[in-house]
Amino acid sequence: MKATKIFQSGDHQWIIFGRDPNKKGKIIDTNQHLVMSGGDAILLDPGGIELFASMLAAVVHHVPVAKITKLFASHQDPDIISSLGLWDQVLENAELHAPWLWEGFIRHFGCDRITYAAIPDEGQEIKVGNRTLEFVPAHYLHASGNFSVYDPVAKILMSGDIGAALLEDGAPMFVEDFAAHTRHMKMFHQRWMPSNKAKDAWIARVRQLDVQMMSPQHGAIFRGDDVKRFLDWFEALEVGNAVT
Amino acid sequence: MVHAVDLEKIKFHLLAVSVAADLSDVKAQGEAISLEAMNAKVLVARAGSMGLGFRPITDFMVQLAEDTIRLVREIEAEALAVAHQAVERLRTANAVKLARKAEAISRSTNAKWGDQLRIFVEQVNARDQQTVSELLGHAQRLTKLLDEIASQMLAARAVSSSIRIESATIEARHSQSFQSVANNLQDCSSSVLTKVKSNLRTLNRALNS
Repeated sequence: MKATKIFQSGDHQWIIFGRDPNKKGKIIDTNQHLVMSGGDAILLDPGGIELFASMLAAVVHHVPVAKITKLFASHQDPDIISSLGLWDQVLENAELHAPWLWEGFIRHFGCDRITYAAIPDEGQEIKVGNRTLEFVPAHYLHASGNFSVYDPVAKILMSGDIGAALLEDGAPMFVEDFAAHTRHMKMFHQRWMPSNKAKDAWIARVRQLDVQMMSPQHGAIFRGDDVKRFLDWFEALEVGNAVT
Repeated sequence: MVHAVDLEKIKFHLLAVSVAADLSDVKAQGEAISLEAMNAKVLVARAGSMGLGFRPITDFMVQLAEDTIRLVREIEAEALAVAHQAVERLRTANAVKLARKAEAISRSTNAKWGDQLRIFVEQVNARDQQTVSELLGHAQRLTKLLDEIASQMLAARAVSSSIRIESATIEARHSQSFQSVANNLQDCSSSVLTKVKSNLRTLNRALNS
């Protein structure tokens, strides 16, 4: 599992795990995020069952497992959170922050010891050590209950499936040529994102934030001006094209 | 006494779930036996003085039916517990396997906090062993209940024979009805006995191998 530190300021860090060379061929590649601050840690979209062993082994390079007190699931998809039943076995006193809408569904992955901390539709702020993370509503993009995560100090937005790209193995972690990159995003967003109205609402929210890095759950990270390029591109794109 | 069992090899969890599914039919048969006991009582009442010889048999049938219903309910509960624990065991066993894999990877890559994974592997392993112990406990209780109901069904077959013998001594108009009760009782008890013996063999083989 490849680990890339994308932000550090003292003990406040963002690390992204992905591009697992041992990943089985037919499962979609995913990015998992670890945010640490003040001796506390949260795993954002910790990943599927197939990745669990690699993730656990990778995470302990950066943080003791006992310090992982929080998990976050942007929505209910298996590539996001099907490893929950396994984390449930490993983590002693953790909370899972996830949309209230999906609690009954996510619990099917196994959630006996972990506490389900339901996020209301309007979003929420949580403390991770000395830092605050914001759960930004991103409903219907694509899941009916869905959140992005914003760190106002790191100025990073973990955008989940928004901004996702289906890339070749070994692709770079950061977008290097935005125009060329749109080729890898277009079909995903047109097919997976059902609502232009929801898309516009999310874009309007995110334009209010100071985002220097936007990191999706699939594909590469947008930096600097590429964040605005993405928002403009996404705004112009007609989505929900499976229904004519 | 808990026997040492290599559960991985015999895929006991799959066995346990299939046994629970197979035994779900026993409840319906148990209720059918109870119904025959009621039928028998009604027939005895209708037969008047001719039914006197059947009274001890039907009294025994009623008790047998009550015991059978109680047993099938306990069997259903225990079989469900076995199935549930077996599936739970799948989860804990998988967690052990993946935790060990993670520990191996972290060791080979010299992870800073990789040592702590050993503690978690031990904890996950302990939980898995607890699940195994509970699963075996339920399985053993289930085999005991199956033994009990097998004895009940043998008694039911004996009762069926007694009804046939007794019905040969009374008028044909009543005799046929009692024969029917005897046949139904025989069929139900045989069905239960076959199913119970088959699953007992499966469970005992799994527990003792």
